Amino acid sequence: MGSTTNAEPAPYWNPYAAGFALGLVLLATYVLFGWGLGSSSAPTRLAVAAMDVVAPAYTEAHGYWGAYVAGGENPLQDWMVFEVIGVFFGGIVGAYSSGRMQMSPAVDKGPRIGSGTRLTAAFAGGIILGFAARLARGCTSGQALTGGAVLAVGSWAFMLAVFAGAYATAPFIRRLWR
Amino acid sequence: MEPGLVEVIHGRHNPMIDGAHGMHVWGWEVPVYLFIGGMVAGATILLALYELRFKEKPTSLSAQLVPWLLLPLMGIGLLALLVDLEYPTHVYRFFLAFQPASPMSWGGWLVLTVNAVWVAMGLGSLSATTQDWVLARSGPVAGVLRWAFDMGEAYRKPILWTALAFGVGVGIYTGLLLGTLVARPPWNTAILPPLFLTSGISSGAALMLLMPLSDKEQHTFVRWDAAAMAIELVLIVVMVISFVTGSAADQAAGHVFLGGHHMPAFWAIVVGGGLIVPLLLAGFEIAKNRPLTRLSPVLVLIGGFTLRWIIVVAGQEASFASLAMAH
Amino acid sequence: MTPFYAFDAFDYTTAMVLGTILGFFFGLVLEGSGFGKAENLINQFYGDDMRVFKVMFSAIVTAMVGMGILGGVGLMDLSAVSIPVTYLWPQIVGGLLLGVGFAVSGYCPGTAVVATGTGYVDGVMTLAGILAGSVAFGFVYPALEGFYVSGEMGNLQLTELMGLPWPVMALIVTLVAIGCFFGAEYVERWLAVRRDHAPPPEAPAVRNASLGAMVALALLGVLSLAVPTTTEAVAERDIDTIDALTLAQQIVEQPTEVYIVDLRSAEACVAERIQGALCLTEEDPDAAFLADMPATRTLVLYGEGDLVGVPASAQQYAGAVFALEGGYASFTQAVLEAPTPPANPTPEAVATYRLTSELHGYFTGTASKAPPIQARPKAVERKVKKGGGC
Repeated sequence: MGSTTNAEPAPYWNPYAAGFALGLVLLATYVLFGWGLGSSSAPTRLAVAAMDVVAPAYTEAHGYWGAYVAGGENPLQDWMVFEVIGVFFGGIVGAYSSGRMQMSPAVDKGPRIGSGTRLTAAFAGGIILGFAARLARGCTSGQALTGGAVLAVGSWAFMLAVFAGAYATAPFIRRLWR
Repeated sequence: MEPGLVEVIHGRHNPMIDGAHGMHVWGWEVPVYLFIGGMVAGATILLALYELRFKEKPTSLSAQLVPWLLLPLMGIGLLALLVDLEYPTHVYRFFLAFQPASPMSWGGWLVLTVNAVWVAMGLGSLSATTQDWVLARSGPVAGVLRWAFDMGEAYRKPILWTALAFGVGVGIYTGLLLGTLVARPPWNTAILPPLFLTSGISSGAALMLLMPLSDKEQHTFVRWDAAAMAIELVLIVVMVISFVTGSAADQAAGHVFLGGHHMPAFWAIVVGGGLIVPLLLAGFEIAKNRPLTRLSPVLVLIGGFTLRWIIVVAGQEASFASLAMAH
Repeated sequence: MTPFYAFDAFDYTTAMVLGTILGFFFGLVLEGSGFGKAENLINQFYGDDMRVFKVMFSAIVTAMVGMGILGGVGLMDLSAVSIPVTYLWPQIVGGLLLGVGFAVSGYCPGTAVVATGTGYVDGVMTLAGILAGSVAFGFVYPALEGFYVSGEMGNLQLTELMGLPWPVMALIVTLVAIGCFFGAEYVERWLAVRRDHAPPPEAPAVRNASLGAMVALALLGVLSLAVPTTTEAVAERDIDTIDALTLAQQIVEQPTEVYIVDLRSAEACVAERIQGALCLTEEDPDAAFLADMPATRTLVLYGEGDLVGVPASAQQYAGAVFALEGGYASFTQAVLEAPTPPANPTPEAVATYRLTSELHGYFTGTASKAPPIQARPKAVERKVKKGGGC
């Protein structure tokens, strides 16, 4: 099916220009809807939808998930689910048009570990991400970026905490990345 | 093809008595059947067109074997339909008669006969190397097979044209079927047959693009797929406009696409993911000459299935009966 | 007046479709910044490439100053903008944890989606983990419930904390951010020398242009404070009415498309009410819960008769709102009492009679009374927010 790698991936955008563009997208979102971008609600709702299929009575009665399925609501009929679908499409088109798309599935990892380790770490890290995003009611897109832009105190605290947590962890997991 | 369903449809359809949403007779089975029907029709059309246009057989093994693959695929579609029937054993009755005025009757015969067409087409698709490989392993039936291969090659052109006609027929039939069964606003639109046909062509192309193809085949199918998707986009726009500017019945149908809870899935998954994103990717593929990602055909297939799903499921929520009640 | 949705320019389903379009550009920019690859993200935390910081804060600053200008010239009603509620302790602890997860997986939820689209299996695995983590949270939730709502400070913004107007705050944040950007670049270059590798590519012209634009916009925002604007109070919504027959049909045909709220006293409501209606409770007599309900359905309010006033929370409901014409009395008369056959059997009268008798049969005949559904008091956190706080 032709070559499996791209000849020359295009260089990344300048971070300040990219940030400016992202800020405009965020601004447009606020102007249109009165709320901003986000990400973590989408996988949560997917999980709730799956649980509603498997164990509907339990899900409806649950203190946390019940709100998503109250009154026969479909948890997937939500703005953020469709926004994240859009993010997925944007990532695909961006990657493909720039030549950065991996034609066969790839694993991005540090030089000292194997793919298996990396994938396990990704999954484990993901679990922590998922849990933390629910606890904080958002992730870097929703709380840090979006809440930060409207100067919400809790969001700024969250943002600082994320950087602190990541910087604190990095030295201990050098092996994963360096 | 659907004798069991006929009993249900011609009966009472009163939401007051039969349930708040009318009778949701059909779940996933009919969309699966329509989707597979469209996809195999599209693949047939594309393969026939390819060979007629380039006057040579497809060289990749995948393309050679596709006509044979369509047989079990269609079988799965029919199985889905049978699962849905109340009296699956009565299916045989359908083939005891042929009513020229009934699209359902046409459809039943089309869907049955197309299998023979695929066999005929498949016999002639195989390259000499493949034929020899098969003959070497076929023991006692080698003689018959040799004859069959020769026939397939000798009558190649008529077979291809027949296949093309059948492909178009099956593709259009999937769009007609819904409208002839029940009077529901979204199904009684003239746009549905050509829409399902073009959607089937792009699904068929996507199916083949998932397989390892020769450069020329891939090059051709990507472009034909892009053309089909572009036409499909136009048809959808035309369809939506016709609903919006039409009668009350049309507007109720339009509600499926412009309001209601299927609207986001329609625009995001069918139009966005199934048409616009693949078209963008195809555009970059053609402009920058990159190999096409496998993700794109997958998105097309998901979009094609979702289109049929929404039209079937959501269509059942808009009935002329409910319109009458809305005085 | 923007935000458009807050002023009923379009409905929620349209918003969802628009959301896909905006998400598309979000994903495009994330990918263009290089955030579809874990390596680029993690380099931030080893100091080599501060692009995460640069992109994120540039975006925050741009959006902030943008809103400052729009708010300042009266094009945007900043009070209609949704501000994530501050729950200080869970946000701090959650933030720290998210940082850990970020470092270990190399992604955050949004970038994991982009990485998946780019073809990285580690992105897919991260998403799988995120799903599992969300589920795990739910299971642990009963134990965490108290902590989850602790440190609540409402929609507290830094502007309130510092007592400064938005554009001024935005200008300060812009200047601080620019200072941090130059600091970050210094650190990048210093570490590059120390670790003996190339620093990230710099394009001073683009950088200066971008940052200059941000400062210019911030100054414009401050200047716009001087522009006198007629503070347009959020218009009192005009609540449309709906008649009893239409509501009855809606209940029969598409019950999941409406919320029906009974605004009469709790006792009257519990005794008898329209099928499927939510009752007010003693803890929440003003129906404050309406403001937070997800906007995916139409809201129908009714009282004993015509509604005299509409609760303030209904004004804030993001979806369509209707009042039942004639209230419960009208519903009773139209549907719950047996209709009389028309004296003059014109086709329309006969059709209406058929309709009302079928509805009558549905509502009073075999249809069984549903148990009373109590509206949840505001203290219980409704998680179903539309965007904003993720």
